[in-house]
Amino acid sequence: MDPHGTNRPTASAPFDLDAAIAIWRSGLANHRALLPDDLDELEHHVRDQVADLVSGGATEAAAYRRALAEMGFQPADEYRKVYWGKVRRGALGHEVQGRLSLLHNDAKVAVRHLLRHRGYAAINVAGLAVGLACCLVALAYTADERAYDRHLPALDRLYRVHETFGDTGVEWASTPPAVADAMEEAFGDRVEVARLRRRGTNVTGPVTVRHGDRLFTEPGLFYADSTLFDVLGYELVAGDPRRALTAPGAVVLTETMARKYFGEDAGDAVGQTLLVADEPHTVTGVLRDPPARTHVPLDFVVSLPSVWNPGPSDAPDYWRYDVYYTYVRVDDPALVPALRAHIEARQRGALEAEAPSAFPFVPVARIHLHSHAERELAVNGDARTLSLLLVVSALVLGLAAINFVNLATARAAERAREVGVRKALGAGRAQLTRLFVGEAVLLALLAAALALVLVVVAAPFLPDVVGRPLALGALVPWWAFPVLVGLAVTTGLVAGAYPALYLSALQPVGALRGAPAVVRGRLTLRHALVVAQFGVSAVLLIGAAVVDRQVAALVDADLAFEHDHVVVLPALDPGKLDATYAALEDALRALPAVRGVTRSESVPGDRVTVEDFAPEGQAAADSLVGLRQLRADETFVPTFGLELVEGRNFDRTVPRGEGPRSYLVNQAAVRALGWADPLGHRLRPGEEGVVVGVVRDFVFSSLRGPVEPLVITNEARFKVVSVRLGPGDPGPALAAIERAWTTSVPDEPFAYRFLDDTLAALYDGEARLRSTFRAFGAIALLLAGLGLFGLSTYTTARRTKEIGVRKVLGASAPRLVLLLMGDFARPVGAAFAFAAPVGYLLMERWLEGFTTRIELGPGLFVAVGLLLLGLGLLAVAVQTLRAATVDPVQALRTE
Amino acid sequence: MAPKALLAASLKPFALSLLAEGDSYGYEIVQRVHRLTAGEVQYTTGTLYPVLHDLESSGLLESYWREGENAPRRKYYRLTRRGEQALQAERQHWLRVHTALAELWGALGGPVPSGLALNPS
Repeated sequence: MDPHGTNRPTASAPFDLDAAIAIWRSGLANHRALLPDDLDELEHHVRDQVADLVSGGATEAAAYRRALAEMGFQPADEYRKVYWGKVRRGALGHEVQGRLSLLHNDAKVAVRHLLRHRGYAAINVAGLAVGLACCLVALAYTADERAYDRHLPALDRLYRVHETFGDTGVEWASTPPAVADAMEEAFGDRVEVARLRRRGTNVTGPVTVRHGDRLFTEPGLFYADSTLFDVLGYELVAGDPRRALTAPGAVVLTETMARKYFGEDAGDAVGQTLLVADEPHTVTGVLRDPPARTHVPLDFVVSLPSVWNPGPSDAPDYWRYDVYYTYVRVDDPALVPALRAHIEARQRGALEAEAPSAFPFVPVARIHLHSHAERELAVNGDARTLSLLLVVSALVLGLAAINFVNLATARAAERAREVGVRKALGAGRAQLTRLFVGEAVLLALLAAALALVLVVVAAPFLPDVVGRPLALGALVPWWAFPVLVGLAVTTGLVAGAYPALYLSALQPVGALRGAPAVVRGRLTLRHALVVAQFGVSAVLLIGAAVVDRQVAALVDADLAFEHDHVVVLPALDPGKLDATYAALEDALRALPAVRGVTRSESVPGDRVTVEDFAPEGQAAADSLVGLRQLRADETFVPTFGLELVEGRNFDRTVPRGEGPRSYLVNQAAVRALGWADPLGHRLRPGEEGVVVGVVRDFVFSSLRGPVEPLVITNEARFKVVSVRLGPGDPGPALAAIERAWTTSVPDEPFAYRFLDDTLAALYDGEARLRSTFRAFGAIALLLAGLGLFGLSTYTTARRTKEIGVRKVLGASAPRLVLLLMGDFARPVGAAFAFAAPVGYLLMERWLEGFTTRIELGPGLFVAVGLLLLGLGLLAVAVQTLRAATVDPVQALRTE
Repeated sequence: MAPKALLAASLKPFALSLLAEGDSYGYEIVQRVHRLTAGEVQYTTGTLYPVLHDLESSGLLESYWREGENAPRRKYYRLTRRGEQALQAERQHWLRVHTALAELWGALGGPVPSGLALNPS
């Protein structure tokens, strides 16, 4: 073998001296004995000589060849003899420079290699980028969720008191007002307590706020003790935080709200007048905008003495009903058990025989991710969803890393010859390891950059997966860059280490002869990794398919009442609605599109309150039954198409308040109360009432678990009007409804929602799970496909000769395709055999507890299996076809 | 072409002597020796530079880069004090050998090659 064979330009190409010299130099650049200075010197020598020879009549190419020939075979060896054991001139500086030039050279080799194998590089980079992007999104979302309420000072000593009812075990996020007094009377010097209250006694309470011609419906209005700002550690930009909420009619609003209502005059908001639900209030302070990530979405805080119609549930010693959110800052968390015991003792003392409640103290820091009580102030996150997201994204990154290792190892065999040459030229093991690991890290860093792009591109679709929109700043926080680089470098190091160590250990002679036989043994490891990849993908796909079909089943579930085309009109002031309802109802019923009109406290899909009922003839203390209570008038049953299985509907001809109250119950309530013959039974929520009818169970609160016991009472606390329309475009009907509303109820803003949207929220969690599974299932499948593609590229390339022999012996192309594909179908099949039972068990558990649920038949699994197989075959098809159709002569020559 | 052993042995005195005339660079040294010996002595790059570097690292030579007006940037070598002393020593050795050989060959008769004429100091 000619030692300069690689350096000599081919005869056909025009000779390029500069290029030839550059190649020659790069061949010498790896030698530690040669410094760049030495190379410069040698290069000038060659150039001088070439110039002389050319002026003597030689061609440039011939002159170059002669100059190199004169230089001798291995100038580096001579240099090495000279410098053996001696410290090189200018020792450290040159050493560093030399190392830098080595790094530079390695990088150049890596870049060249990647450019030559673009397909391989693209697959690796794309796969890893997807994995990194998933991880970044999961981490960013987790960080964002965990950031909730972190702005509050004294977070470690701040609690919200909940009440868990002794009889039903239901936990509320609110408490009776007396809880605050109980804490202050016993531990006044060690605790700071503040109560927060919605305007209404129910959970929803948007209020109209007006200043001049600016009139808005505000959801973020609360009443609060004057200590609120002190307890939460909120700052006022104007006004005195300790006195701002003492006087009746005082209101504090955030800076944003000040600008919204007072515009240019926001600075002088203090002292201005705001109409809160038409009552004049005086602005006494402006609150510095709290961060958006808080469980208390405060916009307005009105002083507690201005509560619009205080009832018995506002009395300081009242223990029965929970309208107040009680926050307490203690001077030492160790005080909490004593506080809690005191509250519980006080309640038992006040209510005597009734089932005592527990009053858990929930650290404010844990509210957003861990509190799932009734009447939360905001939609909270869920720590379990976060864990799921993190685990799945880590899995996806793992899949991508497996691809990385697989592809790099697959390439290793092809590079065995290169390794042999490098070793023969004197490259050490460390240098080779550095080269291969460097390549892997370079790829991984490219992937990190691509991952950032992917996250930005995917940002608009993320709310479906994580459940709420994320600002780009939250999605790509400052720490995303070091984290991404760290993840990428780690993946690169791990993924590059195996092929690097393996390759650098090759014996040069064997390596020079071609791919060593040892590689064959590693095939099993890579096959196992591919099986694992497809297994994970299969589980995720089965999950996606099951969740998908289950959500579809939920959407189509028979809720046992008419919910299509129902428009819900909320009223803010029940009193006003009562006064004007007759006119409104007449106007609505006159519209041609309207099929039914009714009013009620809430509609199915809204939260329905639980009340304690005492069945007739039993001692109150031990027999209270928690029933969901829905207040509605006699039009409710026909409008929503409820089926009366026994008895009758409410009687309109009997005015409310005369005679005993009438109740309707559902079948679940009949079962819960143990009645054989429900009609005529009496129930006491306060006053006694008589059950007049039983409706068939219909879904009103949740699609998980059985329908809860429900009582429908005919009391006048109506807050929504429901209008059922005929099929067809609701647009014109809505316009007509709005006209009817504004004429009949002039002082209330018109708002509407479709009942189906509210009902969709019942399976919101499931729908989000569906998006998560879909997204991650697709990504996992993509990565597994890429992995298989890479493996097939390698395996098929290795079998080129075998394929050639088979062809020569008469095998047809289709037969070969079958043969090769069969090899790849096996790992896919193995993966599926492992994934199907796992998927079945996991999803069967998830399906438990749904009232409406699908059955897991073999069809679903067969479909997923076929899909996997199809995609797997698609992934290998290109390589397989290419190999099977190749000219056998070519094939036989390749090795 | 002179035998390899002689080539290797004479490189050091050639280099030191030429550099005693003035600073120079590798290719020029090779060319000068080539002309002086009428093509008889031709050093290859592979032997020249390691020796130059060796002389430099033993402190007989110094090197520096010089930018020419029209010429490319070249690495020049310069004789140090120790190099001058080494040159004197080399001279002694070579002259002793040369004188002895010249005497022997003078007795045998035949011309002394002009290029290697004795230069008594």
